Amino acid sequence: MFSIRKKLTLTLLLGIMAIVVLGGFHLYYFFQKSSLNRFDSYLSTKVRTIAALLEQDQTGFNYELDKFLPEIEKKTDSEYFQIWLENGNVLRKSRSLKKFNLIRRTGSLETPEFWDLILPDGREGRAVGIHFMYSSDDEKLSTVFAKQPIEIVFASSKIRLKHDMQNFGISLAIEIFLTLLLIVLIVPYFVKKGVSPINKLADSVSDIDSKSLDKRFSPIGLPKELKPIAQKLNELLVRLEDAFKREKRLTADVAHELKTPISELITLAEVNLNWPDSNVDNKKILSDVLDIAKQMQNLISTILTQVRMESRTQRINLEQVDISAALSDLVRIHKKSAEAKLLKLDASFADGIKVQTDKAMFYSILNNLLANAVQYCAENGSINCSVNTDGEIIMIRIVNTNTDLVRQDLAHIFEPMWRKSQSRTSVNNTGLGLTLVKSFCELLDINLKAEILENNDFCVTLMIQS
Amino acid sequence: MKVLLVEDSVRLQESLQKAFKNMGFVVDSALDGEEGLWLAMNNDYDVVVLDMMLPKMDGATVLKKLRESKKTPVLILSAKDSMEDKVGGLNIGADDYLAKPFAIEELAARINALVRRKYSSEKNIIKFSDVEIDLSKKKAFQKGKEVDLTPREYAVLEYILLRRGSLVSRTEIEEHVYSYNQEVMSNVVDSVVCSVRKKLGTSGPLIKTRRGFGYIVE
Repeated sequence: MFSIRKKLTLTLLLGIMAIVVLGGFHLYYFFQKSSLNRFDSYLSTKVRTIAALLEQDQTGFNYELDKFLPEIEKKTDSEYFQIWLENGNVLRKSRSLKKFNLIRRTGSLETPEFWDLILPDGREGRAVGIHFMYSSDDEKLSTVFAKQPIEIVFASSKIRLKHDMQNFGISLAIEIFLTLLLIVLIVPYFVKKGVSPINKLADSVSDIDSKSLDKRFSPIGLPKELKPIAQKLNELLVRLEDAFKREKRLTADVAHELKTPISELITLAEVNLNWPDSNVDNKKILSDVLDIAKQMQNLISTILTQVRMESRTQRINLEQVDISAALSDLVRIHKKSAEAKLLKLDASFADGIKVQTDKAMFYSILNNLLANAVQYCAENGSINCSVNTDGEIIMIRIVNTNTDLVRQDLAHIFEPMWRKSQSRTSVNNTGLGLTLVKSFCELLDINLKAEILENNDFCVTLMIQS
Repeated sequence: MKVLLVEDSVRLQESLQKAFKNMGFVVDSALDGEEGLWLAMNNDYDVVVLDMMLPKMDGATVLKKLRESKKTPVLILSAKDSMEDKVGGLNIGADDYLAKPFAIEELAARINALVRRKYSSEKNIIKFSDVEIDLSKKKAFQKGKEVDLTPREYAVLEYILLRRGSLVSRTEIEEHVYSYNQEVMSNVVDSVVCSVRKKLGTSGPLIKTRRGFGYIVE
């Protein structure tokens, strides 16, 4: 599996090793060149010294080489020189050359010619050649003798240079090897240390499951590159925890809400099977069964709608909806149940107030709010429904006499399955009506507000942009 | 055996009442917590079957208030079935906990168990002399043969035998054998006891009358 640590370690190792090896080669090359330059400088000095020791008098050219450069004529490790006149006649050559001659190849005094060669004794060597115009330093003699072109070649063994290069090369190779070894040991350690905050974060993330969603990542001690990740993960966890809690609560509530009708159904069936009563009409039993089934169907379809809302799969069909007509229809429907409970249901709104919205959802919002108002209105209380327009804002208010809601309850009334009282005396009450209202309003961009008025009435306001 | 059923689902309450009556229980019922608590405080029930989610006063509050002065066995019958709910219910004083949905036989068995515990009886069969009663089947047998008793007669015999060795007043019998709403004639208990005596014959257990106090089986 792909690993940042492994990849980083491998890349760094290869990178650093390549740099070290290339650096070694470069150093070796630089040392070689420098050594050769020093050797060439030595050869130049020697050949110039030979040139400087060349003197001409009336007897001819004199040399004091043996006196000043005794190493040239050593028996072992000897060096070689040869001096030519312009016509090619050898003016002088070192005794070490014996019958051999050096190659006549020269450069100027300023830029001598250098080349490698095999010395007469078979050793590897290097030679330098210069040509110059000889003139005597003595003023008198200089007037007697004409200036003469002289060519000198000097050669010496390169063995020492070669040994130095070899020693340096071996030392360098050992150094490079040890450095690479150190790199192999150190790089993985530092990479491990460097990526440890990532590993730590990854371990913390791995530890999180559905049971530990309350865990949060501390940004303290994290490098600045990981802090935004930790922060985003924390935000994600908060949302995830909320969603899990909501899901768990809804599942538990739904299961709970279904258990009562199921118990009713089972008990009804068991009792009538075990103790059939000839005095009881089968129609009554079947009617009860039907009511229970409808109650469960109502609950399940409401849950499915809510799930569709939450998953954003509910489609919106925008059309021109007559608010006045919708409210008139719904007020008429709910008036019957209100009157049955001795409640007063009033409505006041002008005709022809229209809005662009989804008709089915909008009807559902108003229907749920009116049903809620009728169900929870205090005994002998009243319900008032009004529509007002303020510029481009349409305000629909449904107010009912409050029973026992307090301001603290307002934070919960739109939560799924929330009830002020724990009872479920109404078979039509799924506990999801107001939750659906909230979801529909969010989808239709309707501002929804619930409040307890100064006179303690409960009021729900819908604000719609016309 | 007299049971108080506190349940806000009308349909469930009706079905359970019918089942309990057919099983030989005397049932009083309440649709909310306040009424349930009032009945439980003012009557001597053998078992209270209590729902937890009730209007006016929730089941937990009813149970706590009841436990302040009475030890009536309470069986919680709730749709809440998590371990926390069960432990919570038992910790505030419930004697048993049954989650919905449930089988009526299991509910009846648990009620019987609570009754046995209340009257310190280890088994469902109570023997006295040559008579035995089966608390689960609500039947009485004499010398192995079933005695044809009406539910009321069985209820009186069961209560007196459960309280054997103790003096049982007519009022106590009325409270355990008749529901709260039933009007009881002054001599109805005496006539039921007389009928039981007749059906058991002279070889049966002697239900002695202590004039002015009630009945006792020794």
